[in-house]
Amino acid sequence: MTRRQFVAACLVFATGFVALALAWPLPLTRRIIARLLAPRLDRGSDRGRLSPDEMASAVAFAEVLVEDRPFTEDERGGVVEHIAERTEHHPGYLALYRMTAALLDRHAATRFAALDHRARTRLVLARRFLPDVRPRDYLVTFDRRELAVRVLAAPDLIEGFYDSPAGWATIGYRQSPGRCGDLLRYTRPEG
Amino acid sequence: MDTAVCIVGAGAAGSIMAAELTRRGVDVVVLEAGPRHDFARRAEYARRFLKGDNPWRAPLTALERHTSVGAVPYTLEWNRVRGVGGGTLHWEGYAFRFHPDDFRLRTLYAVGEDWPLTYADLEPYYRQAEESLGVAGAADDPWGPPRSSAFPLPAFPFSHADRFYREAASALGIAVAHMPQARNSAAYDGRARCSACTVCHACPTGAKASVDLTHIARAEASGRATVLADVSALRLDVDASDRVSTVTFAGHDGKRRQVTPRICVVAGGAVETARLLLLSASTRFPTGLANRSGLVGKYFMSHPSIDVTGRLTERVYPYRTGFSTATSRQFAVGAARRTRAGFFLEFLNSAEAPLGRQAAWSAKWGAELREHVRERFGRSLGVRVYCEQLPELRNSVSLDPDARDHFGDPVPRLTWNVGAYEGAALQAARGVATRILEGTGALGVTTTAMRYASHQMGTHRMGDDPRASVVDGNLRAHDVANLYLVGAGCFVTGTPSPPTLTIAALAIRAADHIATLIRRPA
Repeated sequence: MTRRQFVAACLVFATGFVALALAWPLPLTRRIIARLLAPRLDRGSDRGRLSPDEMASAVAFAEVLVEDRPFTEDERGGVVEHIAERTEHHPGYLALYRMTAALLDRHAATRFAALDHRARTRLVLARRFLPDVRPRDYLVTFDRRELAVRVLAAPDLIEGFYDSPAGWATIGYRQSPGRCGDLLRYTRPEG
Repeated sequence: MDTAVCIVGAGAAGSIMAAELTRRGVDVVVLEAGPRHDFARRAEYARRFLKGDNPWRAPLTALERHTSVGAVPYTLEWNRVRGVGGGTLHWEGYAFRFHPDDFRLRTLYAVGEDWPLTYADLEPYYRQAEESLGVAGAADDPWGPPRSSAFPLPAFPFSHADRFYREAASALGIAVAHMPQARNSAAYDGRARCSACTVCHACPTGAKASVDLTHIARAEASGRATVLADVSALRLDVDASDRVSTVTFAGHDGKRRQVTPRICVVAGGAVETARLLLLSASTRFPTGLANRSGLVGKYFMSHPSIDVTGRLTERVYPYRTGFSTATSRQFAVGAARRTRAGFFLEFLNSAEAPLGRQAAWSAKWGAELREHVRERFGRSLGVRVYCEQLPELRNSVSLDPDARDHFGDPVPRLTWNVGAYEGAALQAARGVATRILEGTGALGVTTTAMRYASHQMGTHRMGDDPRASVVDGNLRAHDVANLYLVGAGCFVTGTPSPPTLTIAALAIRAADHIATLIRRPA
């Protein structure tokens, strides 16, 4: 096989794979695409704390993702605790959340957190900073940072909210994991 | 530093040994490779654990290195803890006595090996172990071993979810019993009653027994124990009479120091104990200390495990405890063990991913996400299976010449395979668990891929024949008169049950023996 033939064969294979992925998004295909193209945390980056402005932008983003309104103090506290835990103890999250806050602020042309809730929601919808990533998004999203926001930051913020007492309260739990209390609660239905 | 007894490792075996020896008036020095974890930080540890962090990870990661070969990759990450308290810092607290049959597998079923002691030999020590750890349970298990006394604490009541399991199991003729656990169902021994914080892997209240709280504290209070944390035993040196003369150890700075004990007890866990013996090869023991049998590091065992889960239409309300409350040992005993391993069933109170993770995985947001979690969450039941593993020569802990630790020593290399005997048990267990779940009305019953429990066993097995074992029934090395190897490494067979209570009982029994020797005039 000549070099030209080899390159042509590779192109045909890649084109076929992409076409297959777009046309036939089976779970297996999706997993393969996600594994190959998904953005990853930079595990070698520093750990630490976000600045207050960065934290405010990240929390404001979480509000759009999980509620149709600004958080109450308790809801905010749970999300702040989650983000702080991530950035201080888990490699890669400080860089992820810094990048997310910077990207949101850039698109807002001001501090994202300074926008009202409706404007934030419009921006998030317009830029599709949402966790509903489809296979083709991995191929057509050329800004890897935007993809990282959708694939890594948005789901993590959602997880943070639903891990918090406020998140557990949405399904009727009076006490969330990690909070100590009534031992025998587990013996009866909740509520 | 001179001492009567030097104990290497402050996990379950080492800490209990320290408490038992000091209680009998014997001075000990305990060397622990990991740190002391301040109890005041438990709440922080619990928060970190809930966020997927391992709070027990030793700060010096170079000490954690290991490699794995064999058909099933075996990692120690998350599956052991270095630190004062060892594995009991993160264990689930399930405190099972072995069944009398477990000690006689060869005689009864022509598989595995018999232990050099019987259940009757160990029963008084099981009782002491239960009292010292504070085990809650009920004598309601028709497949459990005979007992000479009641459990120290009343059992934790069955959960709301257990109602489904019990009804379905009962219809199939399967007995479900209360889970025995070293966790306070009432205040006990100065520790609080469990308050269902659901993070038992980093219990923030101390209601779950961990030997840093229950035994090291006692040993130190006696004034006879010196516990050195963050120091690694590097070599055991022997004299011309084949006795351990010194234990060489070092802290993170690498500076070598020595302890000169009358008796040395190695309690580093099945992996590190074998590794230390292999590292201590000398002209007198060219293949490793106490290894004239060639069996140090051999017969490494764990517990192959699967989860079988299904979904109900009703809610079962998971994540309100961090532990299970129901079990069945019906399949852990009996003549079927001639052809397949015994297995025991744990009925899970939380059989699905936590709420936050499910929300994150859903790829939904806003109001649609709220509806999704309300609809989906809290309807799963699951049965976890732990399967015994026969000792096999091909499964081992050896030294990896290509990888080095912080001190420049070869790291442990784990070789782990699962055989047809265990495979047949997992197949049978899957059928049993599926029938139970279908009996609850669960739909979409699925089985996870095989995993393994955080239990490492074998590697310095006990026995009467020095050619076929490393230690005798008192856990004394056949080849080295003042060396004792305690912990699950001495197990002859894996048995289906979690190992910790048996580790404790054997350590107490060995401490009895050592204390008698120490008191005897030289």
